[in-house]
Amino acid sequence: MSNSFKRIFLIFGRVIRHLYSVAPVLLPLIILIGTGLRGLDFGTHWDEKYYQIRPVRTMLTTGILLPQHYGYPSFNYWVNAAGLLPDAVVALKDKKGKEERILDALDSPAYLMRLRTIYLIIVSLSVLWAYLLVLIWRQSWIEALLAALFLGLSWEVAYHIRWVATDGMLMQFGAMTILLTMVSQMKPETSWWRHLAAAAAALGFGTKYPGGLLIVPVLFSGYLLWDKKSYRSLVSSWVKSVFIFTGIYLLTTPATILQPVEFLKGVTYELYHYSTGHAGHTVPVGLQHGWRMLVYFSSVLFSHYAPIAWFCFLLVIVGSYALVKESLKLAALFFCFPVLYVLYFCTQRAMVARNLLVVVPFLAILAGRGAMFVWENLKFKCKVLTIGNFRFTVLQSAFAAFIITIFAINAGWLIYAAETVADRGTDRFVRETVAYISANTNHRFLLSPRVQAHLTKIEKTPVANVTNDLSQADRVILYSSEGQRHWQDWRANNFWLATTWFGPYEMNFNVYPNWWGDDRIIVITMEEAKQNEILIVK
Amino acid sequence: MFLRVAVYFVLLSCLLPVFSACSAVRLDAQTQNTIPASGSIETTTDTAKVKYKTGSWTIPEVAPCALIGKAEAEAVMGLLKNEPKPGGTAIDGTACAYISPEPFVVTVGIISTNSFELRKLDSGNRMINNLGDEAYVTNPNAFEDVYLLARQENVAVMINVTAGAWDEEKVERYRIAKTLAQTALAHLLLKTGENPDS
Repeated sequence: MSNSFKRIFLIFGRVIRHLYSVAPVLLPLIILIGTGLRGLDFGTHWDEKYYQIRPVRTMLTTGILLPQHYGYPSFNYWVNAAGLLPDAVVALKDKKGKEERILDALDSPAYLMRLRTIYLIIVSLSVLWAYLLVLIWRQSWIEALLAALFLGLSWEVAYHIRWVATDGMLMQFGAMTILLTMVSQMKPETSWWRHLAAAAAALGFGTKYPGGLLIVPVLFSGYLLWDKKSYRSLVSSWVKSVFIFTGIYLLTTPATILQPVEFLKGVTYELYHYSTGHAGHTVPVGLQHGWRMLVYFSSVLFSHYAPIAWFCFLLVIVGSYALVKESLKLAALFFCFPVLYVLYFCTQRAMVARNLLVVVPFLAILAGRGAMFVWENLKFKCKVLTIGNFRFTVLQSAFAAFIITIFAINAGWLIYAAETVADRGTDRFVRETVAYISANTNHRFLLSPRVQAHLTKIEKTPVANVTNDLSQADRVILYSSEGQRHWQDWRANNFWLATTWFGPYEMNFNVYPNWWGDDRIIVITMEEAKQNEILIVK
Repeated sequence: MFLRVAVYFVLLSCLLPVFSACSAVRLDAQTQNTIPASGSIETTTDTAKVKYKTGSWTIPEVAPCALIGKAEAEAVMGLLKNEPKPGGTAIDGTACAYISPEPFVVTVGIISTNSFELRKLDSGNRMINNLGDEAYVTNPNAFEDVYLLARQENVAVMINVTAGAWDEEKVERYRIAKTLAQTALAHLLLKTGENPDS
């Protein structure tokens, strides 16, 4: 009896220890999910109702559970259908009109908010996977926390994961796949981890077609674990992985077999779509597309503030160097998916930032590695500080303070951005515009008709540095909807398009200026306005 | 252990000033954004009874400024400052701007029927009867600007009335939006070869 108690006590102790080492990840997760929920009611998103919810309606009305839309594979549609469960339970209690009630629920704002919450929470798991990967691989909770913070406090990640879209989901499966693949390397005695990695890769493929590339690290992991004695064992391990990958993918998207013609039409349309471009997101293929992605990763991804984003990307470069230096084999395994994925998109003409989300956990892990590498190499002969069992130099403590400041700024920005979404429809943004004009006396502003109309509501006397003369103004202030004749005319991924803007920060306007959701007041330099042929300066 | 607690403490204490800064920013904002009292909209129905309808992403190839001429607009909204001119985008479509010296601005946009459906069941919307096949106004902002969307058969329009510092009694922005939407829909159907009486 006492032995049993001892055993239970030991197991309990082990669980507590494990939970304790995982606890730090709660910090980025709470901030990410908390701010995500605060800004959840952000208005209209292009795809949600038409490309995400409508196929679920088709599944339910036809009763054959096939979405009939194959621009995306079908994993998301199962998630969206599962989101209806609470309504289905309520509808089951009704004697009449069960189906109609469920279909009505599909169109309700409450269902959309529920779906966004589900996506927010599932996609946030990327942060947990990144944390666990680093914790297991590097055996350092600090490095794991750094990776999780770089990922979870990125504004680009934070606003994208509120969307009912495939890209965040793919990011989550991408992070899960690389976690399981790396664990399969750490624990070579069992092939289960690799099988699980193949399953995660399949779910990624079932979410978004380019996610199919996730099978590459899984197969490569099989190759690295191969004993080099017989080709048969290598082929056998690959066949098993491909079998699991294909089987699970087909479970997510059965139309691949059941409706092959419609399925191929959907896939070929998307292939055509991405190879020919997408409105203002169209870019030349090859180096130019690669360059644009690099600018996004280095100057936008990690922070709303470009200098912070640059610094974080510098850490990515350092982290990549450290990784390659430590183990070329593991580095190759880690890099193979993101490199192939980015190269694949270089061959396409459409650059939509959300497609790049799946690469972000990899970059965050590298930034964490880079930060630790810098920390370890800052052991110069200078004053040593001691806290508990830890000893570090003044330079190290300065570096740590700097990193903590960066995270605090990023977290602060997430909170600020979420609050702007909560303030949609208020006069806050017009008041902020008036304050901005008054504070920037060194500039002369040309205002659009709608901004002028709103300003008269707040500030009846015109502000001194406002002009109606185009030649006198060096800044233009307008509502984004007043900028171009057609949404397609906006050049997307123009990261320095708007100097600033006043309105909800539910997305990055400079990345998605063609947004169909809420309007916002944007400030553009006259030079940018002319270059972009903004209507009021034409 | 100590270091971990120290890191948490420092990170969390860094967030405190940010939290207080955010709450300070919100103090000035007017957050009431309710639909104006009855009388502004003639008849309304609850969106709960409204169903999603199929639509299309096609936008008629009609210049929005060709829908309502200056004289027609002036008859509804008073004298205009200048000729109607391209007024930017309206969801997935394009709009024409009518600027009054008051100042207030009306834009008349031609949108796809899918865009009409996309926003139809948003929270805070109010349906309007006797306008096209279906019409609604979105939840207004603090300035009580009007966003009115109307659909008839295969065409849809969006009217936006941005309010300036005007005499509230003198101009009824909902009436303006509704009248212009009726005219725009009728003209759009004619221009796209449909029969407005069908």
